[in-house]
Amino acid sequence: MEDAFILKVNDISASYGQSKVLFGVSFNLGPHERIAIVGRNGAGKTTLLKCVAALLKPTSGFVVYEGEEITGRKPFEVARAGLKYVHQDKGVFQDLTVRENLKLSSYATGDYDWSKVFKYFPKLKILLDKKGAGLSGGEKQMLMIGRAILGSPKVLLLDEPTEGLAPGIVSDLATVFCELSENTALVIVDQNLSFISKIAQRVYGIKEGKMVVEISDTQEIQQASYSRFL
Amino acid sequence: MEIDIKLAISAFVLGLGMSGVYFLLTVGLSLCYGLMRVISLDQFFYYALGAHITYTLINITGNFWLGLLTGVIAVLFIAYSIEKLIYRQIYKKPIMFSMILSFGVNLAGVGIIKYIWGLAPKPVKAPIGGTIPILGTDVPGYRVFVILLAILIYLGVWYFLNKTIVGTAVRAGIDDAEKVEALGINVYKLFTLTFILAASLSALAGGLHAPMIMVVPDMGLSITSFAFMVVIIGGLGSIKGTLISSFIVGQIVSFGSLIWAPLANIAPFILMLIVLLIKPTGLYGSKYLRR
Repeated sequence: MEDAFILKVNDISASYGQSKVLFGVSFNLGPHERIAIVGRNGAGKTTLLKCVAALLKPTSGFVVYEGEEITGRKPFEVARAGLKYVHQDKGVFQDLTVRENLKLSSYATGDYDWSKVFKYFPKLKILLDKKGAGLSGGEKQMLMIGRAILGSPKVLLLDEPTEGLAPGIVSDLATVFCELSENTALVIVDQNLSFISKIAQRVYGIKEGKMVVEISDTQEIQQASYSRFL
Repeated sequence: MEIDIKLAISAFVLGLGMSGVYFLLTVGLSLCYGLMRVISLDQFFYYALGAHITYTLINITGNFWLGLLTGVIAVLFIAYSIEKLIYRQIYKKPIMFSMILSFGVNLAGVGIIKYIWGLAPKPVKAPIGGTIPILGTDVPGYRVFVILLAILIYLGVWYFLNKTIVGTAVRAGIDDAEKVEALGINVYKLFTLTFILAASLSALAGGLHAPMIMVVPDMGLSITSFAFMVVIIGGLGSIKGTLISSFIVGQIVSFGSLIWAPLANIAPFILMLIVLLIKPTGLYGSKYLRR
């Protein structure tokens, strides 16, 4: 029987040295599902995504992706398997052009079909020879996501994708994420509740390293009634 | 104070020869820090080992080029093993680990060189004799060869970094290795490649430098401070910066010795301090380079 979830995060705890950040966090993600994890700064959202992407080793708990446990695997193996993490800091490679940024992702995934990137982000086509350092925040975010969708990942972990972006770009991103989820499941970490209310099918609230709420009712999500827990 | 024009040209070419050696030795140091965030002091061991193997092979075969090539290849394999066995354990640790560890590898390596080759200075005959007239001054042909080879290697490294996909990945890794890994690229392969490239260039520098100096086990020690000045002035992780600062330091050392011998040692330090005060990342160091 096929598993209903493509990603299962079970009882993850993590720490940086002596400082404990996550305390037994669990969540599941179905194929093509869009879930959001919301919480204040320092709540442990980024740490959680890094643990899932194998960029940080949890102190306990495990992650199952497509029926296989991936805890302890190397980050590049997890990314190649189709579980990709998009960093929070609009971190395109500053010294590389847009073309080089995309080429690197093509090299990693073997997917040289950039038409899907340009379908979602046509602006990138005219920016191909511009260096990462010269891009605006919105353009950087487009490139980060464009880079990540090469290789047709099954799960994208998006860390604060709307941070610092103009409202118009945020609205465009919401549309893109809804379209993307036809082929890719999305885990979106963000603090922008109006953005989350537009795209999330399920919302988890995280506070001081613990999951404090799970809302799957569309109306509740749209009313952002979970904000009282954060 | 007047400097004879012929002497000045001679000093300029001498400086260029030294610049070539500095560049070959430091480009690897710079890339190792840029990509892996390690300070690889064992590069000075590979430099000395390259020179010693070149010396031995010349004695056996009489062929300098064969000696040089053997030195580079032997170091390549040794560096590969050291990277796999030792460096892999410390990439995620604070930078001080790499300094202490590579200092230990350097000490052990130099100790082995002393055990095998002894302490006596060894002369190596230049494979290219004669002189080449430049603006009426005869300059040693071998020095001109070293300068041209260094330029060729700079172009090769530049081509690799800017025109190949693996080189692009190395440049991206210099920016942020974790993000390269998150794309699905095995950064540890890039680390190995960069490390053996660095060590091979250090061995090449040692072999090429051998005919200009006496080959001794501690030869790496005497060049350490200049190498670090080159890397710091040029900017960590930048090969263009390394090339330019190699040129500057080579000329300062060469003309410094011509004007007043102690100046050769003092002037590069003063320049380094000035550069650090004005531009703490070095002349071409990336402001995006993070620790």
